[in-house]
Amino acid sequence: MSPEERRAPAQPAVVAPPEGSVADLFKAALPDVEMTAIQGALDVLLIVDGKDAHRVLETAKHHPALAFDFLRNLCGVDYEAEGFEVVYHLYSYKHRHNVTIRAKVPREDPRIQTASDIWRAADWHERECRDMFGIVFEGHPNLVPLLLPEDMLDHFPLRKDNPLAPLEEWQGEALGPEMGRAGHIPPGSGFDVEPSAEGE
Amino acid sequence: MAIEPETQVEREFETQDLFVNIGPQHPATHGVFRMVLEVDGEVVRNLIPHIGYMHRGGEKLSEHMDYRQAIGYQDRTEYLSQFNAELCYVLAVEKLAGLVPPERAEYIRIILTELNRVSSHFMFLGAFGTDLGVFGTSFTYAFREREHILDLFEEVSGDRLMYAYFRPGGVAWDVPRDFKDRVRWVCKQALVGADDMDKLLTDNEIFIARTRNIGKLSIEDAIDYGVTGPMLRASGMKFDLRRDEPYSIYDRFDFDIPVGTNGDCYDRYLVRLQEIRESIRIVEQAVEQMPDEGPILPERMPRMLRPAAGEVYMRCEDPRGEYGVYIISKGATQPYRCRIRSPSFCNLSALKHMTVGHFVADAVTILGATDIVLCSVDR
Amino acid sequence: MEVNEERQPEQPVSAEEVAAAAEASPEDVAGERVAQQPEAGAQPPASRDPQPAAAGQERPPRAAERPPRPPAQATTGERPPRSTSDVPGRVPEPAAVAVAQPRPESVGVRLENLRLTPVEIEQPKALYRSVLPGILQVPADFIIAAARKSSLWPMTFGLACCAIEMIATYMSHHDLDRFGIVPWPSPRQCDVMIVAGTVTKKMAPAVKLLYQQMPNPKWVISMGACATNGGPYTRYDRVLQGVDKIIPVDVYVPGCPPRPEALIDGFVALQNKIMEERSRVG
Repeated sequence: MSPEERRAPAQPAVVAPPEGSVADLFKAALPDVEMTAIQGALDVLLIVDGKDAHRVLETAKHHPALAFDFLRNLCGVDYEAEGFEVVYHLYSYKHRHNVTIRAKVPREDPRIQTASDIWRAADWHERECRDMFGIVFEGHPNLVPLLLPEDMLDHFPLRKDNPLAPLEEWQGEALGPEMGRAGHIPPGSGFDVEPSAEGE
Repeated sequence: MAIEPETQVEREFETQDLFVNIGPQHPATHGVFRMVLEVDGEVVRNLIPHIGYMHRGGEKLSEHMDYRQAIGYQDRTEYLSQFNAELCYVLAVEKLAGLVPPERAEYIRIILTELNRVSSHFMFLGAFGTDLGVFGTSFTYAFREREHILDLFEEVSGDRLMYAYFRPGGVAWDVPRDFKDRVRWVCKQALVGADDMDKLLTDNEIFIARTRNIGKLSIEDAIDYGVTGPMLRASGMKFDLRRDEPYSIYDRFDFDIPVGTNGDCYDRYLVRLQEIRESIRIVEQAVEQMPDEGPILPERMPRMLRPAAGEVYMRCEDPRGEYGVYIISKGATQPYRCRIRSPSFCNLSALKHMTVGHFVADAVTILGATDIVLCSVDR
Repeated sequence: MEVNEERQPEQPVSAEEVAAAAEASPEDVAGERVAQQPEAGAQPPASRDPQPAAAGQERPPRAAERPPRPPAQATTGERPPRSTSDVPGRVPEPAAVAVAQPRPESVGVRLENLRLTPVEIEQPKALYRSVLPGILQVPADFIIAAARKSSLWPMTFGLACCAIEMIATYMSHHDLDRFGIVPWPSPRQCDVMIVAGTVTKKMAPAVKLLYQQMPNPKWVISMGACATNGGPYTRYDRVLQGVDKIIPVDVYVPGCPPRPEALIDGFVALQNKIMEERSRVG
C-alpha cells in the first residue's frame, strides 16, 4: 500500500463508536449512568459526570467483562468556561482493550472522588493533578503537594488563566545602562506576557 | 513505626527510629530525587519520596508552542531516550493530523529509536554498576559503546543529545550516505559492549548477592502501581507495546520479549541486558529492509500544522516503560493540552512498596534498578 | 628616601659598590622589580645604605613626588637618553676594569685587603642561583594559583539533561582527569560547582546551601542555557531564570546541552581566570 492510499482523512469531531465496542459493555454493565460515547483516534471515549465517575471506574476494574486492571494515565484538563475534566486512560491486560473515561468537574467547586482505592497508581497522579489544577480528590489518603513546594500553592500552573512568567533582566544594572538592557524586553511592549493570557 | 517490644530483652535493647535524608543532591539518586528513610537499625521501615525538584513545566510550555516547536520539550523531558519520546509525540500528532509518513522515514525512525534504546540501556548498566560499588569501571565500559551510538546520532541529526530530528510526517532531513554501513558497524560494537558488560557483571558474586531477591515486585502489585516496561517484564508479565499494540512498523520485525521470573533487581538487570540484543536484532532487520531511495516527508506537506479538533492518547514502548502523550487539539496551531505520561513517574511510585523491609544499602540498589529519569518524573 | 637624596650630590657611585650590593642582597626579587622602573633613575642607589634595603624602602616615588614630565614625552612615549650606570641596581657593562679606591666604610667586599691591581668583576648573580641552580623564580601567589588550577575538584552534582554530558566528559572519551579534574561527591572538599541543568525555585535553596558548604576558594561553572538564564524553560514561573540570581558564577558555558568539548573549554577558561585573579583570590 502506498503512503498516498494509506492517508487517512482528518478526524471529524464526533463519531459514534462501532457496534460491539467497549462502550456497549459499559452501557450494559451500568444502564442507569448517563454516558456519551465517542470514537477517538485510537480509543473509545466515555464522557460521564464527575459524581458517577467513581462508580464507573469501580465497575471498570471489577466487572469480569471489562477488567480494566491497568490505569495508564490520569490527568486533568482545563476547558475554561466548560469547567475541568479528569481523564482516565484504562487498559485491560486480560482482554487487551482500551477505554478513555472523561469525568466532568465543575469549575466553581472542583471536587471528585478519589480513584486511589481502586488503583494504587492513581495516588501520585491525583496528587500531581491537584498541584496543577487545584482539583480536590475526596477520600485521598495523602493529598499533599507532590511536585510543587508546599509554600507555593497560591496558584495552579496548568490552569489556562495562569500566564507564563515575564522575562527578567538578565544582567542587572551592573554593566551600565546600555549593557544592562541588552536582551531585555521592556514591560508594556506586548511581548513580556503571552498575548492570550494578557487578553483575559 | 518501630516494632513494639515484646520480650524483656527487646525492651532493654529498644532502639529508636532514625530518619535518614538522602538527596536532593546525592550521587546515588540519579538527579535531584530526595527520599527520607525511616530506619530501625539498618532496616527501612518507611520511605517518603519527595519529587518535583526538576518540575519545569514542559507541558505548560508546549501549549504555547507550535506543534513542531514542542518536539524539543520531548527531548528534554526524556533525556536518555529522546528518539523514543519524539516518536511517540510525532505519532500522536500524525494521528490527529492524518499524516502518513513514507516508508523510508519509518525505517529511519525505527533504526534510530532502537539504537536509542540500546544507548539508554547502556547508561543503565553503567549507572547500576556504579550504584553497587563497581566504581567507575562499568561506567567507562558503558560509555565507550554509548559514544559510538551518540556519534552516529550526531552525524544524522546534528546534536549529541537533543536531536529534534523527527517531524510529524517523517524526519527533518535525509540521513548521510553511508548510514547503513555506519549502523551495521555500531550494531557490531554494541553487541561486543553488551558481552563485555555481561562478563563484567552477570556472574559476579558480589553483584548477585546485592541484587538477588532485592526489591521483589509481584505481577499484581506491578500492574496495580502502573509499573511498565522492563520492570513489569522482570516480574513475569510478557507484555510489550511493540508487539501487543504495534505502532509504526513494528509488526514487520521478528524479535523476542525477554521476561524475568523472580521480579527482583537481578531480573531487571538481565531483562535490560537481553533487550539490548533484541533491539540490535530489530535494527539489523530494519537495515536490510530499508529502501535506499525515497522521500522522507509526505508530498503536499502543510506549511502549518492545524490538526482537526480531537484528542489522542498515543503510547510507545520507551526503554523505561510506557511513554504516553495525550494531546487535545482544538484546531489551532498549538496543542490545547499536551500531557506526558512518563514511565519513570509511575515506576517510581512503587519504590516505597519495594523498599520497605530491606536494608538501607538496598534502597540504593532498588532505586538504581528502577532506572528513573528525573526530568521525566517531574516534567 | 630623604636621607638618600641628601647624600646624592656628595658621593658618586662606583661600579663595584653596585655590584657588591646586588650580590649581597637577599631581596633579589624586589630589587629587580625596582630596577626596571625607569622613574627610579633619579634616585640614588641603594648601596649607600648601611644595610641592603628592603623592598618597601626602594619603591619608586609616588606620582605626586615625581617631577612633572614634559608633555612631549607623554605623547611620544620617548624618554631622554640615559646612561646605564645611572640606573641603580643595574650594573654597567663588564668593561669595567675598575680601580678600587680605598674606602674604609664600604660594604660587602673589603677592598683594602686586596692589592691595588685591576680586578675583574663577575656578572652579578643572585645568591640562590649559584647555590640552587634550576630554581623557578616566581611570586608565591603564582605558585598557589597554579596549584589551585591544576587540581580542580568539581562536585558531582547533576541537575538535568546537562548532567549526562557532564558524565560523558568525565568518562573514557573525553577524560577530564587529564586536567587534574576529579569528581568528588561531597561539597566539603570541592573547589568547583558545575550547575548542570535547570534550577527550579524548589531546588534553589538546596543549590545555595551546597554552595555555602563549599570551602573557599570556590568557583561556579554555569553549564548550559538553563543554568545561565533559564533556557527553553525560562518562561515557566517555577524556574529560576539563571543560577546567577542566587550564587556568583565564574564561567558560563553555552549550549543546550554543551558538548563535552565546550565544558572542557569552560574549565580551561576557569583555569585562566584563576591565574589572572591570583592576587585577588584569598
